[in-house]
Amino acid sequence: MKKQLVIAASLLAGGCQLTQANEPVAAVLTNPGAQTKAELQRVIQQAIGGTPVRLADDALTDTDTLYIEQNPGRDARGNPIMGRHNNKPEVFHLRLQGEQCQLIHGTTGEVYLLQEVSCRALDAR
Amino acid sequence: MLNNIKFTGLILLTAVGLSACGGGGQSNFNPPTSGSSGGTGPQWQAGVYAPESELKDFCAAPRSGIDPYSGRAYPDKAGSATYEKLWLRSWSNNTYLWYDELDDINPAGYGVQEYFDLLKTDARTPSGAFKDNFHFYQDTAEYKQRTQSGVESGYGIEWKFSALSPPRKLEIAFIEPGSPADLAGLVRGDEVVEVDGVDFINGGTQNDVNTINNGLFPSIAGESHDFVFETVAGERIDVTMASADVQITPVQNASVIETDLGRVGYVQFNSHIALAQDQLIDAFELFVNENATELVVDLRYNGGGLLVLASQLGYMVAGDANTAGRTFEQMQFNDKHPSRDPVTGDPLVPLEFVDKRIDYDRFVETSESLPTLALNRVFVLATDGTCSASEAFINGLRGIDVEVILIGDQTCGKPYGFYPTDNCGTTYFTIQFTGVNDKGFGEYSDGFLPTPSPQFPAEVLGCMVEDDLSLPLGNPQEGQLRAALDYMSSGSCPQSSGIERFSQKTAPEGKGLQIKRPDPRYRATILENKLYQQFGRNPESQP
Repeated sequence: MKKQLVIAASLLAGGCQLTQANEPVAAVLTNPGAQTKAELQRVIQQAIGGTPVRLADDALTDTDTLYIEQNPGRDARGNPIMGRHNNKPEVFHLRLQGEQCQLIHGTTGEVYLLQEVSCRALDAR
Repeated sequence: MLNNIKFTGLILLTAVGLSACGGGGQSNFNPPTSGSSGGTGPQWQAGVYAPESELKDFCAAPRSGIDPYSGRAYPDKAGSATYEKLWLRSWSNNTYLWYDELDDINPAGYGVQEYFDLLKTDARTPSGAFKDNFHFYQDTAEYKQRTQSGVESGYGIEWKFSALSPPRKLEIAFIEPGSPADLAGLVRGDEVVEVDGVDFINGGTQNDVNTINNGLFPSIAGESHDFVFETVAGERIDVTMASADVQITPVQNASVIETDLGRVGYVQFNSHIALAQDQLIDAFELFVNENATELVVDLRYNGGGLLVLASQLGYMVAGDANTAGRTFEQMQFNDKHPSRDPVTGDPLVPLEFVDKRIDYDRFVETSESLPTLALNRVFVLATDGTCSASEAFINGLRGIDVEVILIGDQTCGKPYGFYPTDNCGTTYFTIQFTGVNDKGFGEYSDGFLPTPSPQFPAEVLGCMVEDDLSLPLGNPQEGQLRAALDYMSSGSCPQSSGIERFSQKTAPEGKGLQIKRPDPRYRATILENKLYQQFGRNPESQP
């Protein structure tokens, strides 16, 4: 059973002399699948509580940012019940540092090291 | 600094778990000392309303343990159904927008949710429809479930239903790019003929209906179902699709159309979700770079969401000179709360037109300015699916005298909002505020009606034009877009739009067995009339 490692972003930022090559860069996922999705769900649940969130099958494969919001209930016409709100979504960013993929919780800055996820720098092909 | 103030005023906290301020009617209520349900519990007394805080969380069946969403113990205490009903009564008396239109009904003999159903106004709009069509409740655990923004389980199809009963009619309104339906080659206008071997149009047994519902609304991702569709050209195509968790693309088909009058920007905006911000910015950067001088915003399938996005869109249309210092929308509560939000306690501050990009990590404005076309008029394509925040966009622009020309159908009519509030494991939605524009106008509970000759405030200059499923969205020949382009040059509506009313609000029900309302975007919350049961909403009350 692999444990999720959580590191405070502030430690990363302030505690190390990082070379530019080692700085986290925006990344996208390269191995979408059930195992990867399950790990992302576990990490997100660890970060924000609640129950596992529903993720797209191709989550984080073409963007480095993940927005999580409450499931928008629909009324009998199919329109969102909460059609006028300003509830803050939870935001996560996928980063690559060296060969390590990380998921960063935007609100807290906490960094979650991913074990199952493979990723590449967003601009690299 | 201005930006911070502007945005601070619009941040709304999810109200679950927050208890609204007290201040209901007169109180001579004695809360229980033991919290038990026997004997000394609260009693209904006509015209006497205990503060809601004294009644909240006293539950007939208290939850125990830790709330996984808050990490704290549930607030529930031993109480009774009477407590729960009296809390609903006091909460409504304090915060319901039309509290003074409620009868003070003795809760004895009613179930809790049954009693909640009574705590709404029976008043009707000028059209005769019920004024309050937005009175819901939902299991709190279900309400709090979260999802990736814009992810829906299904095939990636936005359906347009025309008849739920035989002869049924169900067409594709649009397809999400990259979805199972897209990969299967389906397109807008394709019509369902068969589902898993069952005649979709005339299938008349309960088994037929079950098969159709199961095929259209698979309960999980990965289910495979067979369909026969008929294309607009009359060709029949066999398709097998596996359901998936599909990421919707809220902004689609942004393009610039060359016309004799100049360049016209077009954008299809389907959902006010955070993901849409960058896509809208990209669209407007395109319009600005291409020197578009007119704009068509296609909101026909946009049921609302984040209000700040509507405000940003308003700015990107209208620009600095039109919007500076002006109100996009102001929340108004009932007359007990003229200056403060009764739920948050915050002063009521207008939401201005937000002209900066939002940092959703911190939910504040950045210093990055949004692109803008700085127009004095905009064309909006609409149907009755154009709702809430989309209507706020229309109303906000009209409030600053930017001309909105409405092409399509009457909008849904939801100038209202609420703070969903949990009590004892059920989250209640009761209308608590309305949104008004810079002119103080917000009375459009029948929706905005397009008409060539507006006479009343909720009537908007424009044309009634049917949603044309025969052509792709964004195609200049598609009926609604073509009508907008024609109006720009002629100033008049197309001859073929001389329909008095064809509103989709007309119930598509007929005789015979009905399928579920076929829209995968709310499949997650509707399973065989589940929504009606969940939210206590009677489909007969639809306008």
